[in-house]
Amino acid sequence: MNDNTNAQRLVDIAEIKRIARLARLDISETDAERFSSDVNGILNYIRKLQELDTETISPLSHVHGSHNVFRRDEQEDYDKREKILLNVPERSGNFIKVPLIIDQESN
Amino acid sequence: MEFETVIGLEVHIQLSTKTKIFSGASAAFGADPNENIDPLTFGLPGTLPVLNRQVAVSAIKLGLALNCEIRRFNQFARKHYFYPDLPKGYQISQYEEPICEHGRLVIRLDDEIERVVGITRIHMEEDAGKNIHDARTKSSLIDLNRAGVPLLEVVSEPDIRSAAEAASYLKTLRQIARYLEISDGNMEEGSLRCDANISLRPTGQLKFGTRTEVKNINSFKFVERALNYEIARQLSILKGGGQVIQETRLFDSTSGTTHPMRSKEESADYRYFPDPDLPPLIVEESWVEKVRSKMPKLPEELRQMLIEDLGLTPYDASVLTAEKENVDFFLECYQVSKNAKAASNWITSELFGLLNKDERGIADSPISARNLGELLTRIDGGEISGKMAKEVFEEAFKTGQSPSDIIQAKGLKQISDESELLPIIEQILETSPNQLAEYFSGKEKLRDYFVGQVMKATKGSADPKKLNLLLDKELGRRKDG
Repeated sequence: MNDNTNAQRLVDIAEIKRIARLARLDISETDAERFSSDVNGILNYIRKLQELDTETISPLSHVHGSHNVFRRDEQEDYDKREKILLNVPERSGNFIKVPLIIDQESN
Repeated sequence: MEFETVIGLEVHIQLSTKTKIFSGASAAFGADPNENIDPLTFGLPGTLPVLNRQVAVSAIKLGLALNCEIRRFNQFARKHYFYPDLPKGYQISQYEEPICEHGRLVIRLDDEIERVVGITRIHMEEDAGKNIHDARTKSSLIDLNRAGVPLLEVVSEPDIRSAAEAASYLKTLRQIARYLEISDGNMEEGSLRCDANISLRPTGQLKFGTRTEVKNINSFKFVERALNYEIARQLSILKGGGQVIQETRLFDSTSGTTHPMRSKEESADYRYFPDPDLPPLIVEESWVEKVRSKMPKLPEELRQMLIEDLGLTPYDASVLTAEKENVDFFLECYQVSKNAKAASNWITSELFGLLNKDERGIADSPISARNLGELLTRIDGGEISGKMAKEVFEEAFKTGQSPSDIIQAKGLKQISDESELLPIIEQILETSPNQLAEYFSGKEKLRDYFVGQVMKATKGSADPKKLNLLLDKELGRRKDG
């Protein structure tokens, strides 16, 4: 009804940049502005749902209604291990080699 | 000003399932790098996780052992962070709805003092892979074998008041995990990992002080050392009028100190949300009861039984219940010999002595519990002496032969029959007139001489109890006569 007239900036450019950083995405200033406007468009559209009274409804995380889907603790051999490792950008023997990352550990 | 230490522990217990928590790849320790991988471990598109039922059973078992409430409706959550040891960019864990909550664990100090530590929660999650950092080549080497191996994270209340209590808590938790056979609890192999939250506050103050988190305590030897170092460090800051900074610190076992972890650029933002790939796990009461009915007796219960019903000392009871195999061995031995004290003594001193020398566990004992029980029955029945039994025991340990076979082969037999023993005593006294005269004139120590002579004559096989009895009778008769 009044989506356009009442649109709010729910997510600013700084927030878009923060999300990009968390997802390890490198985005330009122009991208950040464009995403901010896109994301705000989406959020404002969805905001319509806020009008519903959800007071007595518990959060829904799964829609298909199944539960207790198990595996037995039995080994299933996978024979294409080497194929997976062939997709790795760089290897050292059977290790996967990546640029030095010391973020959570010491020296 | 006096300060009180406040410690809460977060312990990760690696489960000893055959396979990973969400896929059929092997969860075995010690495989070659990246041997235990499959598309799910790699987080490849299109893969879907399916819960290993054994993980849920293990969580329920531990929850029951720690007197927790078991949650009926469970779901898994994604915890997002970027690190190469976690290819899909998030760890599957539980967030606001852990499977177990509000438990407690009884710990002991010096076998006597009892303390209760609250358990905040236990939740299921997957382990991450392993990184080896190489600063020289500016690279990290990743091994994903461990990625997806099941973990139970056990979070305690801040109820622990000293490094010694923390060590006891960890030991007790490990002991229970081993009794339940859900984990081997091997700290050196990373099956048990411990992070500690430590703070100090003026004694009597209710409000907690600023805490630090100490990570990387990777051996039982270091638990007390790491915590005592951190307690002393905080104490000296506070006594000097300074303030503790809230931070994560790493323990360095080489120097025995803790140092701050390189701080992250921004505080972690894990963006938890329910994992839509995994349907909810519903634990009905009937399932909990089924697990409960299959629970083994726990160490605390067995310890009480050994003390109260079988009359063992608290110390011996603690030693025997330290490992399930030990108390099982003891109980089987006791079943045969019905002499708890003797069984306890022989196991904790003779058997452990020889096992330790060979660096063997009780599971590899060359003497079975039944055989030891039989040997003890023979001592109690007066068939062989304690000294002979020790000889037989050592021989059995060395050769793996049964004690009965050794006794028979060596013709070992204690002489306790009066008709056999008395003539020997008489003969010794007859052939020692001088010593006998001296004895009667007051040199009572010569009694030992007669005992020694009889032992020599019987090659040590005289029943000492019977020998003493008969000797006294015989000496008395000769004195009066």
